[in-house]
Amino acid sequence: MSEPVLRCDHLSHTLPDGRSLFRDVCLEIHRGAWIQIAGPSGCGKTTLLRMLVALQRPQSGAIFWNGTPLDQVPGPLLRSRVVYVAQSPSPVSESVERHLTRPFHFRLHRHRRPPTREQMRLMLDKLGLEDVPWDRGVDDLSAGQRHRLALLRALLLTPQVLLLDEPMAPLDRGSQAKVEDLLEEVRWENGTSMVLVSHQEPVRKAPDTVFHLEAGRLEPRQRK
Amino acid sequence: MDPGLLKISNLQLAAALGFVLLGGLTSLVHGLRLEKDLLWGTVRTFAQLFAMGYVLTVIFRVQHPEPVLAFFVFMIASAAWIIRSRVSERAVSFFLPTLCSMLVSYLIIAYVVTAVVVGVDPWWRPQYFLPLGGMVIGNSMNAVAIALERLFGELRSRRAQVEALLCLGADCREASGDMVRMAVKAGMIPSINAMMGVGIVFIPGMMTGQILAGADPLVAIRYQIVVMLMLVGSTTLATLLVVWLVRRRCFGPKHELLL
Repeated sequence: MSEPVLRCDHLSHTLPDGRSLFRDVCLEIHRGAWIQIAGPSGCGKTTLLRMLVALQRPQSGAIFWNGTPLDQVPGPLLRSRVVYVAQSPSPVSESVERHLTRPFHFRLHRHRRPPTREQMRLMLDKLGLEDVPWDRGVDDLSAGQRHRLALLRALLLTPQVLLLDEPMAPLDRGSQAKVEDLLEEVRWENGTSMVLVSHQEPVRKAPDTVFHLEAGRLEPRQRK
Repeated sequence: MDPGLLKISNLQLAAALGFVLLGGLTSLVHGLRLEKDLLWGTVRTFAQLFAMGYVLTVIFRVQHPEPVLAFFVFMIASAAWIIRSRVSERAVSFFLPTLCSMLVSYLIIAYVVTAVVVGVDPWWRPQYFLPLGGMVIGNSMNAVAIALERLFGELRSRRAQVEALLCLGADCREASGDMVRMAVKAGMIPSINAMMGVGIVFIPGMMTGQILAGADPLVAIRYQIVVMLMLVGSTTLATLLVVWLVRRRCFGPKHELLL
């Protein structure tokens, strides 16, 4: 089997009050995989995702990206390929167009050609955002629209791995289906691995593997 | 002694304490609990200014660059220490970058003003360098404190926004550009506002001092204009430097936000 894109070896994390959040967590994410992580609130799902993009350091254990320990990988480089979309994208006062193209001004993406309006409009349509004008402020959008916009901004970077924290929470079932369809399309086209932290049952796309994080343990449950 | 300047006797100085008594009485009547601070502040005002007076007398007599520069550095270090106690952030250590940026920017500005603008020879002549430098430090200290408070406040309140950009591959500089701009702007605004009000709302300290000492007001205003412009330069340079240096300390080795 090929080297996983991301690998966690025996991760453990204890909260400042001494409570163990999770222990001995092992996880392999292969190219093009579709993984769902479920579990009760506060069990450490978000912390785990933040560790995968080096926003937090694990107290013990190690994480590898393409076989290299994260300690040896510059944070921005890792996050330019392993993109994490947080649960509640913050409302920012910039236009939709500026919001979507802003990452292409970052040093690590500057060499890439920014998407054209046609390309962005196509994807906006697929996410049910066909009525959103370019000059609309992101802070004028609803929570669900902002969430889909944040997702689209991440997809435009064609990441190697996409980590999505509760991506379906603010969406109705129709929008959820559109998001799932687009994620599946991107996964097939680019081989992007999808990791979704979610409580919701999928509408269209069943994940390859569902992990349950509960009582500090991450247990896989293979789908039949 | 200049014939235009009246001496203040010890008795007259003691009479001025009546103003503090007014403050103390108000505090007592309204239960403000400021009596201790007022007393401590008054003692420090007397002690610090008398000490400075004696030190300056010695420095003016010696007329040598080393004591002048040593006293200037001491004033900057004291200002950096005051900023450290005024800014509430404790998760990030900012004393050293504050001290370094103040040293660099104030030395440059004070040198340019005395050597180039006023044309003092030698440039470190204490009668010019220390009062002008002191004004740079005193005024820019507030600007640096405001800029730091703003930087920490913006990074904390807009944490989600910063992290969203970091998660798309931005480095700490790219992710916090908006917050840095806000902090520098906040630091610069008071010196710009001061330029708007000077000569209308208030007569600034240096000009007052010169007029009291018998100087021609038209000469005094020229000095004051130089001081006002100098303060814009020093606050700009100091806030820019301190915000750039401290910003990096708000992020870890992986460019993760530490606040």
